[in-house]
Order: sequence, then structure tokens, then C-alpha cells
Amino acid sequence: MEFFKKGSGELVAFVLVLPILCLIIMFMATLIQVTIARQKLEYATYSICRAAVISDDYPTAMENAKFVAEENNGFNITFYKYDGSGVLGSSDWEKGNYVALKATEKIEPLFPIFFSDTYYSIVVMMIE
Amino acid sequence: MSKILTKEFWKKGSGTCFYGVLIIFAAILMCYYIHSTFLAHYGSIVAQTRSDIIADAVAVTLSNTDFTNDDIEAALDVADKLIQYNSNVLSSNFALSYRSQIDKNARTVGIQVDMYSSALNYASNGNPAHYARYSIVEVLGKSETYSTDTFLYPADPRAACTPMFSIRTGIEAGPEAYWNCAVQFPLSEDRYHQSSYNSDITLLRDIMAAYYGTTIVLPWDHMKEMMIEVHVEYSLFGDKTWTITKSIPFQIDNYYDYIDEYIDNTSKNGIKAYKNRDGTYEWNAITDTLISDKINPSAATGYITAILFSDGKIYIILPPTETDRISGSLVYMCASEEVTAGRTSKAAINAYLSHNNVSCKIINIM
Repeated sequence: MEFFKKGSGELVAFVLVLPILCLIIMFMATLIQVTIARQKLEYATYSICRAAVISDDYPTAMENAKFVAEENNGFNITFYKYDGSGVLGSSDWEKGNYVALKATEKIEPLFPIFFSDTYYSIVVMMIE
Repeated sequence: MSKILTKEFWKKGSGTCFYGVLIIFAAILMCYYIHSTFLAHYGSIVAQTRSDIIADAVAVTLSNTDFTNDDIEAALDVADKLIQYNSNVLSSNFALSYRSQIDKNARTVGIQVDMYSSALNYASNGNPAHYARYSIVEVLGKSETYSTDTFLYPADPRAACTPMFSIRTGIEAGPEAYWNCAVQFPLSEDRYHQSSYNSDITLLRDIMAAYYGTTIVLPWDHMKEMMIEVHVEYSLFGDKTWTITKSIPFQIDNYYDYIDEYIDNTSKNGIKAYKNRDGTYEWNAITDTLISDKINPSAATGYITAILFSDGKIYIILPPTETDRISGSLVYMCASEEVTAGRTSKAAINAYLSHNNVSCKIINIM
């Protein structure tokens, strides 16, 4: 018993510090998870939009984009014509127009309190 | 008063508590730098993708022009807009700018995107972190003696199912674009066949070797996943040379899922085939591997289709001539469509080929 009493202060301090350390480690892991996920999201958005802008028309573009999106972890995607007029229609699908693609993904990291959210990435490309 | 509440008790643990606090501060510092590191990487990805986007758009705008000053000005207007639009959709922590280098003689467009991030990762001098990424795209135009037709075999039916190849007319893009071509492989179901994949990779290799001296590393997992790495060495903005390596993992999920056995008969007869779960055999084609010791060497080309039927016999469909690669591809496509559609028989293939007036031989080598 005496043996344990000698280290009781250290034990209490360690017990106090341990949860905080765990939280910090979880926080670090969460940061890594979120940033890696966002990097992948960024590349995926680029790939999806690339597949779209080389298409001949809007339906084909959507089809190609959805295919690549499914290949890339199933992101939700939305097209916008980038002049504020809303969703791009097929009649506007012409070479030289600009289109924005927004890909979203729900990320639920290890430390979900502040970071569990739907993240998105948007790129603007010219229709080729 | 209990002994645990005395001052003496707390003094005993003060050293540990002190070190604990130090560790926490160290961990917080680690969080900061880890986040900064990943944010820096993220920033470089953003800059690279924007650089690719702008270079492609400028090249498309310049394609089939004479590269006059007006042409270049119009193309750079596009770059301005893309910089502005992409800046708008990015977080306010990021600011984009670009530099261009358009070489009239070489007909190349070089774009360097500079991105400044005022997020966590400040540079050591207190200024926002700066990332510079480059893209170079070669533009085809009126004065060129070559055309995409030379590379892309436009009569090849595969062009219909490879949007990147067929639609990027006017551009023989730089390494980034070749990587993009590689990305597009899974767009066609036919791309799930290794033979077609090999053909396209051969095509890519030809183009890249001719213009960029590049190498491609292409391991192929016969079952589930393929990985494409494109290594490119090129120079821009001076003599600086660098290498880009990109890997693209693809999950091949809608074709090979039901194939659970891979039979490699290469050592036996130069033919690879797959066996399905239901016991039937799946056709597979081989390319770039001549089996001239088994068949008529004069007819052997890179487009040889081998079909292994459920009766255990292997049939080879040969193109009509050694040099007509397009016809060879047609034969190949006809065969693959038939077999994919309904586990066809030799008679069905014969009927199909004769109906399409395609001359070829079917040889039973078993």
C-alpha cells in the first residue's frame, strides 16, 4: 500500500492528463482524416468535371460525370453554369462556356464533434 | 481532513503534472504543424488542378488558330476568367494568379498557377504560403504537319467509347492531359478488358515516347484494380526539369466481379482466358503478344483475339492483313460484342463477321 501511496500524485496527474492526451491524439487523427479526404475530394472533383467538359452535350456530360463520381467514392455532384443563372441546361452546353461542378461528401472523422460535416469542392472549367 | 487533500500530497505529483502540461503543449504544436503540412499539400493540389484547367482551356481556345496576337489575347482572356471564377469558388484563404508562356514555334501553352494561402501555413517570413504549379499543353493547329488522326486511329470503333481520345481533337496535350486520358479508361465498359487496355496503353506509350520521352508504369491486377502511373519529364520556364507521377486506382467492379478464376495459359499456347463462376469460359484477347509459332505468322499483328469457349476450344480471330490495324480492331470489337452479349458460338461469330463483310480467319488451335 505504501508503494502505491508514494506515487499517488503522479497517478492523479496522469489520470488527469490522459484524457486530454487522448483527445489531442484523436484531434490529430481527425485533422489528418479530414485533410486527406478533402484532397481526394479536390482531385475527384477535377476528374469528374474533366470527364464532363469533354462531352458533346449536357446529358452525356452528366452521364460521364456520374460514372466517374461513382468510381470515386460516390460523391454527390451538381453542375452550375457559372454566370449565376442556375443549373446548366442542355442548350447551354457549348464550347467556350463555363461550368462549375460542385462535389460534396459527408466526412465523419474520428473526432466528430467539430469536424463531422458535409465538405465540398468546386471547380470551374471551360467546356471543351 | 483527509490526507489526500493536504498540500504535501499535491507536491508529490507536481513534476509529473509539469511534464504532462509540456506534453500537451507539444501535442498541440504537433497538431498545428501536421495540419499545416496537410493544408500545404491540399493547396498544392488546388494549384495543380487549376493550372491543368487553365492550360487545357487556353490550348482548346488556341487550337486550329494561327497563333496570332489576337488569338493569344482571346485565349488569355479565358485564362483570366478561369482564374477569377476559380478564385470566387475557393475559400477566401486562397488567392490565385497565373503566368503564361505561349511558344508560337513549338505551339505549346505553359501555365504556372501561383496560389497564396493565408490559412494556417504561413511561410517562415510571415508571408502567406505560396504554391506554384505548372502545366504544359501542346496545341495542334493549321500549320502542323501531324494531326490527332495520326495518333488516335479515328476509324477505330473504340474511339466511340473513349471520349477523351475522340473529343480532345485539336490538342495533343502535355503529361497532365495524358494522365487525364488514362483517367477516362473506365468510361467504357470495354476498358475493363485487359486487351483493350493494353491497346490503349500502347497507343499512349507511342504518343508519349514520340513527344515527351515519357515512361508509363502499368501494373495490372487481373481481378480487381488497376493502377496507372505516368512518369513525365519535361521542362518549362527555363531549363528546370521535373517529374510528375500520378497514380489512379480504379475499382473494376462491374465486369470482373463475377470472374473468380484466372487461367494463364501463356506458357502453353500464348493465350490467356478467364473462367467464370458458372463454369463457362470468358473470352479474352491478347495483344502485343504474337503467337506466331501457333498460327500463320503473316497474319499476326498486335490485334489478335483469342476466344476460349465453354466447350474448351480456343478460337483465334485474326485481322485480314498485318498492316491494317483498324480492321483488326474492328474484328476485335465485333468479336467482343458478340461474346459479351451472349456467350456466342463459333457459328454466331462467323455469321456476324460475314454479315459485316469482314474478312478474317477463325482457327481452332486446340
